[in-house]
Amino acid sequence: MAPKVELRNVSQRFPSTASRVGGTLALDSVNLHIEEHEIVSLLGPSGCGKSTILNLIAGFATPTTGEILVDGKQVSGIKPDRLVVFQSPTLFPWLTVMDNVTFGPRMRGEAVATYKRLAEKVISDVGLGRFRDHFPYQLSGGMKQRAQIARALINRPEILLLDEPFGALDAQTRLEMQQLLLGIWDQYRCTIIFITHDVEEALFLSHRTYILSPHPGRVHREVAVPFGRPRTVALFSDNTFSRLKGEILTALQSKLPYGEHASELTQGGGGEKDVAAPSLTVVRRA
Amino acid sequence: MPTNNSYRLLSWLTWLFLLVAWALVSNMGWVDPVILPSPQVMFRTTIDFIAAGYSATPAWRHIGVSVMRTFAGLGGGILFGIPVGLLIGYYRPANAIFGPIFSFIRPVPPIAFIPLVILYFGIGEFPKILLIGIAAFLYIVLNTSNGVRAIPIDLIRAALNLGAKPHQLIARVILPAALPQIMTGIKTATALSWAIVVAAELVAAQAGLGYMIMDASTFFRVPYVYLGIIIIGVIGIALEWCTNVMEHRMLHWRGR
Repeated sequence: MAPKVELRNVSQRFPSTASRVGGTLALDSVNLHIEEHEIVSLLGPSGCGKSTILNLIAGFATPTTGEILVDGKQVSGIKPDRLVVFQSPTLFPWLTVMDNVTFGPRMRGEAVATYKRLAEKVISDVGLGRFRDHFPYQLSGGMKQRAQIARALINRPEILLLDEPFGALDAQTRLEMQQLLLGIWDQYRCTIIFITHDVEEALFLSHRTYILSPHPGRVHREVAVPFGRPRTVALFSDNTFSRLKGEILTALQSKLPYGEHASELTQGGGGEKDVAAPSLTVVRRA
Repeated sequence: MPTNNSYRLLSWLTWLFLLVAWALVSNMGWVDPVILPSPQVMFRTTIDFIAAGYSATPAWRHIGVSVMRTFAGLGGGILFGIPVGLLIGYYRPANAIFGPIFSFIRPVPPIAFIPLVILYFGIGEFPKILLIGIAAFLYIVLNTSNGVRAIPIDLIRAALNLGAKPHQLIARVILPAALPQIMTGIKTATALSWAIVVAAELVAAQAGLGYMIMDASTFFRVPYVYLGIIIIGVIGIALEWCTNVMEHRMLHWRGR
């Protein structure tokens, strides 16, 4: 069976500007795949093109070369079955939580009766039941992201694309949101592509992690995250968790232009399977 | 700590002080009463104006004519300005075509066009309304297009991602997202329109507050000049208050 999402030799070059003659190579021959119902995170520093990858999968842009396949078919255009949750709050500030959440069905002309129950459900699933008639300015940062997730869920997306959605939140709220997302995944089982620069976040949430390196954006390594589910906060004090975190940090650092910690881990490069931790296996949920 | 109320009191006290100073200066004969009529004279003039109007035209007509011209021009400016502003804000070729023309006309004081509109359209209602309409239009186009350009790209992407079609994107996302700036344009345009109507009436009109001021100064009826100025000022404040209330209602979701 074809992977849910697949990138084949995807390169993206942005046109020249006054300061950058010859254009910028944002992605260089990126290959990656995400299986159905999998949570995969793209981990890397700024400049590694992780948001560019997301924009390509969402259909906001088309790659310079290479193919992006969803269910084995080339992606064309923007569709509500691939929904993005943005880092910046992109709720419509003039609409209440309820009206924000029902925006998708309303734009597609669905009858109120068909989405009303689901709207109530997704709003309570993200814990905003009491805030359905609030406006975005009345919500905290975490609540805004909850509302954004609900606004995506009501469309029954097959793929959820999250672009550093919790990056701007404080540590406490971030952990809460990560647990919320795991709960949502348990219940809705969409395929999730999660962009982050936070190693712990990537390990806590995902089945697999692609480590990206910057300038130009490349897949540096792929790491299978061996932990079972459901996952709890206890995972953060797990030994394997700490070891993996250390390895990934080392790998990330070795790939920075000013990195002094070039280690044996870099030899695996170029998107191959993780060689440094052969004991790790890919945990897949059917 | 001074409260909002104490600042408001201060504003009223300023008015009271000016009134007392005015009464003193005019009644003590420190200033020629022909140049500065006393408050009592102004009060009587006001009563006369309300009762008998000015030069055989009732008071409500002088005021009403000026207000109607303003609203007609402003309404036209808003009606055409918002769609054109949305277009040139969202669609860059439109901006390339019209932008430079608007940039050229905008800094020219609208009053400078008075001779031309009179030349083209005479001294009827249309040229005055047209003049106000053009000025309002330019400011609303400017603010609307700036508002559209300031919309975060992710907001538009989110809407498209959720399935909004182009016409829905414009009506349900771009228009409301640009509304704060559009309201700024409407407020500026309202104040400007009110100033222009008076100027236009100074030059050529048979009624209106601007006409009254001009006519009264020609025939040396100085109290009516002052009365005209006071009414223009009061209505100006009222217009500003109206647009502020409107802005507050329409943009309550900004949470200010």
